[in-house]
Amino acid sequence: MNNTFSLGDYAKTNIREGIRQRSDDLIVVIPGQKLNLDNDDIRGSGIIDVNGTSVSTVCGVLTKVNKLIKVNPYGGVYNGEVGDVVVGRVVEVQQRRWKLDISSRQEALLNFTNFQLPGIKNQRRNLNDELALQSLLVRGDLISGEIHSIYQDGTILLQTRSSKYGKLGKGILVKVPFYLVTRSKTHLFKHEKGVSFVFGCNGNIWVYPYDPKNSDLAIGWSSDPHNNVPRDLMLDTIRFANCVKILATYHLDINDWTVSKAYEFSQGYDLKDISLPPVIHNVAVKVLDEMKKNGMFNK
Amino acid sequence: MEIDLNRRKVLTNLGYRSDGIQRQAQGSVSWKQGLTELRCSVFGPGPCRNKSRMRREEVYLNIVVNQLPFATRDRKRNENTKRDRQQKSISRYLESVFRKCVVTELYSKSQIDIYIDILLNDGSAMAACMNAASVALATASIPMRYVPTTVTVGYCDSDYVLDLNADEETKNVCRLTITTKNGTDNIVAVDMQKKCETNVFDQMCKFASKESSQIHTILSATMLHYAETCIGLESRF
Repeated sequence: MNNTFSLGDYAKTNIREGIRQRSDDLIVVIPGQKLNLDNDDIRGSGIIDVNGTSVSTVCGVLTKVNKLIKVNPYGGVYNGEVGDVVVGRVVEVQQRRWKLDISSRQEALLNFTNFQLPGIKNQRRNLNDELALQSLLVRGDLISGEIHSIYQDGTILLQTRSSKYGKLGKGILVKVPFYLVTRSKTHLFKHEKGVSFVFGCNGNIWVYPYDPKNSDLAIGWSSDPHNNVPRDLMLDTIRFANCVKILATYHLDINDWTVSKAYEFSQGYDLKDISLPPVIHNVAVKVLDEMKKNGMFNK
Repeated sequence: MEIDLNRRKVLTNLGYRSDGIQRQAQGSVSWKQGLTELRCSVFGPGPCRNKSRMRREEVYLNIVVNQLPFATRDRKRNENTKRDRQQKSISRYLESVFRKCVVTELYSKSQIDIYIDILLNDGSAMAACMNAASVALATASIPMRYVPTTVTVGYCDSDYVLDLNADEETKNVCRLTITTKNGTDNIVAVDMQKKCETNVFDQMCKFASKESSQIHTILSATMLHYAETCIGLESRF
């Protein structure tokens, strides 16, 4: 190639100009990049030691908190933490437990002893109870629970030791990237429109109509085909599920406040038009303005 | 070389969107290197489906290279394109490099799937697959010790040529596919076709190591582009 062409200039101009606003004061690293760390710094996740030199292993932002230095990547798979609320799907029924898919790097386990039946007080499980519990949850059912413990190889043990968790009935499952669901104290949210949410930390968000009169073993409406959800309640549920998809499409934070705001701004559109790109853009821009007004980007 | 962001069709029959990103995958990239065009998807560390291949201390890498029937001038039948000798050699080469490159002890008893579809093969397919898989693994946030930078070099008419195309590969040309660490002179893998003399081989290795820094600059720019896109997603409006 000729001498006037410089590959470094090509690399610089390849990065889009509009992105540089928020990232001017951030240190972005790529895998294999040498980091000049101090001797007393502690290496966190995303950094390994190669021949005495600290090298980053993932693509992300270099973050320093006191002595701890780590690289925060974007994306990846969900790593469970103890106490997280997750929504998983049953993939296998074994002798004494169920195997759940919660989009992590190992499958989650839910023992029969950790599963609490709603309305029944705690008692010991014998062989007849084990046979009955095997048919209670079949392959493909959805369960909400919280993480009890994490084994050494990444296997996650779930528990449903409260009446708030358990088998999920009629509703809509929305899958979003897990890093959009911010970890907070309330992951079970009930809107005044009669629609409830389970914001799973693994990115599975369960939107379901709430009516305690007809619930037997499931949370919300039972999955019995004879139970009919009222039409207005189901339409509101579908609208809320589309609002969650709108927030996920534009990578906005998903919590009870942003979903309520998106629902308010989507009231001016028909339900059949709510998935069109101009409608998605308008609702997302309004939610973003509300988030900026409430100071959600000042951290 | 660039990420093709100008395609008009919204969704192809392979499940990719118009910007080449497969939404279900943890990391994906569409890659053009000259006329060679391919798609790469990485499905992140998940449960190992084949228990006989599961390893206790490290992750199991499942690499599938698929050349589509219209990728070459002569049409090949569809049922043989995954198990062809050429595609198997590419997947074995990728596995030998990524087994050392990916920090595998973090994901024991897990499985990482890498699927590569070659849409148009115009030579240097092995180097293009390796570079695309490196970028796709970086977008999937899988820890890597270095960025494997791959370049194809050939010896033709007493001169060294770089990045051969399909016409040059059909000739009786000795060609070498070399993977280095971060574009430096640290060579981690070599794949060689045809024969040459020893001093020519040494000169080809030096030539490939010198030229691979340019490939690493482009790979770095692509990864930085992805990282800063994620950072600036909220300031897109």
